[in-house]
Amino acid sequence: MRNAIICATGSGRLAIELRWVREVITLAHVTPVPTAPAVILGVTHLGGGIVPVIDAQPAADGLRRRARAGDSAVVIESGEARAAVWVSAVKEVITLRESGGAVTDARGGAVVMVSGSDLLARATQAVSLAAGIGVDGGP
Amino acid sequence: MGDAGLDADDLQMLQTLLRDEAHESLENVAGILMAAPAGGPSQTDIAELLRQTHSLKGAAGTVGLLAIAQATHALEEKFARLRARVEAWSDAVRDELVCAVDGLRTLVDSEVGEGGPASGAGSISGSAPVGGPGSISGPGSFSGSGSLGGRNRARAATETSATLPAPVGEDRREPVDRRQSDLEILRIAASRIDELMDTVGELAITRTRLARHARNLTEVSERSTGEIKAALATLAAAITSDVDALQGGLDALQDGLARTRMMPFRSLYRQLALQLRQLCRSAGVHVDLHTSGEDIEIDKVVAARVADPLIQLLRNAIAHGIEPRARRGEAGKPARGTITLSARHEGRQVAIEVTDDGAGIDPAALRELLVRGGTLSAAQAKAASDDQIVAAIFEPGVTSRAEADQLSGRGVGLDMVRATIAKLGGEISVRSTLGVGTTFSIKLPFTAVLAKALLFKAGGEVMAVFDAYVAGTAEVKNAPVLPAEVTCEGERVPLVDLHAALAIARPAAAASLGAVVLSFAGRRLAFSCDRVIGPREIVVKDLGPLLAPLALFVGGTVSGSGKVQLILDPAALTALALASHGDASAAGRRVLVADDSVTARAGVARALARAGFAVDTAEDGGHAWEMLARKTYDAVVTDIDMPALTGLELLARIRDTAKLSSLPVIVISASATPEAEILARRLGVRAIFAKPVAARHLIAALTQG
Repeated sequence: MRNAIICATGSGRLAIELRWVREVITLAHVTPVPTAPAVILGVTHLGGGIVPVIDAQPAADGLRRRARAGDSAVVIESGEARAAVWVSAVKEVITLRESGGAVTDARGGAVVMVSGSDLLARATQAVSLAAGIGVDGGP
Repeated sequence: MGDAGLDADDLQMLQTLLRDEAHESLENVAGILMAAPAGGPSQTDIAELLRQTHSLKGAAGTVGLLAIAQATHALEEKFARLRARVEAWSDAVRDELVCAVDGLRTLVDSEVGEGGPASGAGSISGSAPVGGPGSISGPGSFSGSGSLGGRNRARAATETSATLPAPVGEDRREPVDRRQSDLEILRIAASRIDELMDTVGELAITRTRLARHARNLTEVSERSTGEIKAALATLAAAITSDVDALQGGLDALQDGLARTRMMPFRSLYRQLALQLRQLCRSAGVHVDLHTSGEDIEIDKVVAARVADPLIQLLRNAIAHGIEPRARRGEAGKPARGTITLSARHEGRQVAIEVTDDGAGIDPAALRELLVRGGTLSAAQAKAASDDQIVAAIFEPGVTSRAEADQLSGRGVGLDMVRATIAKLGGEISVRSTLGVGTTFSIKLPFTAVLAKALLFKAGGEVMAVFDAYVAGTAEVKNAPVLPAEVTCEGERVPLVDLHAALAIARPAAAASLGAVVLSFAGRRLAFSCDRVIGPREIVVKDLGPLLAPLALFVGGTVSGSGKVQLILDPAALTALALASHGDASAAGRRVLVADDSVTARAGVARALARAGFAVDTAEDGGHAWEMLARKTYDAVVTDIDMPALTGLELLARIRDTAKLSSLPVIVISASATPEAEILARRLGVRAIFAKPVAARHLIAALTQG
């Protein structure tokens, strides 16, 4: 049994296990970050600090989508890393069942669960790669 | 009390600091390990793992916590094996390393618990092996105009290298009244202060909103009539007055919170004195340390970040500056060298100087080394002044030592010193007189939280650059191709098209653009922007670990309306300028990049492509050799350790092939051995760089000659 937050994204549904989730927010202005990979939609102001806004499902063409003030986001945290995952809408918090490696909802429908840690690790890897091609990062 | 002026209280304080440092380092190490992809951490991450463990090992040894130093050393060795690819990465290795980190964390807690060091743990006594990391006796002695344990300069100067520290139990100083000091000093986690600072930031945004409401109310009152008009005007004036009062309170609160993060330089000097003692012992060098400005305050965050660069400067003074006794005698100098650390306030900055009375830097010898190492072409070296040559010691890979040793081996180099200081919004310069000595001058902001910055708009967003690097502003015509230079104070300065470099939109309708002229690392450069806004005092905020690898940004600030404004790194902007000005010589030149690491390969290829080179890649030496047979290249950039055919084997084949024998080859490697370097040079390699290599150096090596 795992608790997850179900969100709608532009291209489908996203289930993030609740243990990674810190809060659901309405985004303030999202400042784009030049040289960052497409997974980084920008940075926003949250609770006096700065938090990156990430795209959990970046477009296959590598083009950065545009997050705007007023959009929703789910703030996730793993270790020291924190990010706001941009979503179209937050649907519900549900308990999922896990059996034989498959995760299903109460009606038995399959759900693709995303680990907050994996989302952050993927974003970190993309940023590191972009930094390698940056002006002075070197490989 | 030992001759470093350290008593049991000092030691306990340092060990408690070590506990906090260890927890932070181990958190970072664990974070990198946990976030590592299936193929293992990148070379950059491994370098960071090595840096973190190396620093922790040194710090633990310095304060006599030998068990922690040994355990950290074992971890460091493991990372060194991963870096050298002696050991392959796997999930089992990750688990083992994470377990080791956890074990080390437990060891730290057992050695130095919440209440300070465990009884007997880390105590310094004559039983510690002389020369071992736990002993604080040795050749160096330390003095200060303030106090490092209350010793005066004259007394310290009479101490000899044979002095062993008195056992802690023999300390006859008046005991410290702990109850009193506990009442007077309240320890608060820095994160709590940061949270309060963030709350102040939130309140400042609310204040801006209130001010806007007051303005709206004034406008409404102007459209109203009669009593309503008067009432609305009174209300708007009252709100405006309260908003002003709120601003005053917020400013005071912000300033007060910034001051809670302050610590006197004395604490930093103690840490540096211990490090210096250890360095002296390792090198067998005899040095007196003089200090001044002990009571000058510095932000704890700035102090923590500047400690490593200062240790590196001390390491440099010992390794390259202070001469052996015999040579000092011949030069008419006292047998013991002198290193002076000084701190003073200069406006809202703190100026730190590290001075040694050593041999100084020989510009002629350094000029030759810079050419031999590929940092400068012969023509560039000839044209440069002695001051410019001396300033080049901040360039990556520059050393005046032929071989690495304990002091100048794995440590953070002067290029990293400059980069670290730049990220703090500070700057470093050097002046040296051959035979007299060297002085490094550092200027840092008073606090890491508040900084003066120049705001400008680029791509429709407001950005900032630390004011310390701004030499001026200019205006340029908004043409499809921007002018290559701008004039600042009568000097022609190269202009970087920031819009093109960052792929951000230029304001189409504007006839002219702004330009900001920076002065960094002895160079001046300008970059374009939509328009210059002007200087402001900003609250500097971290972008967080996710965005930390992006070299272009040192942080961000939040505007009164709640928008994040990015702060650009002057070092990265300078590199950008150098890379973009390499275009002319790079255009049309074809380079083959061979590296078995897909990340490294892609990184180098993209950096060179950005600089205008046509780039092909090969996944190992064998593949590169096949490509060389099929296509003509102007240069090869190769890793050393690769399957099928190593970089050196590839180089040997190139030299043995008549039509390729003069092809320029550049080697980049994370772990080139001295033997490999010698062989590569024998085979006529143009330049050898350690990974990670800065793009500008690679481009400079490719475009020279």
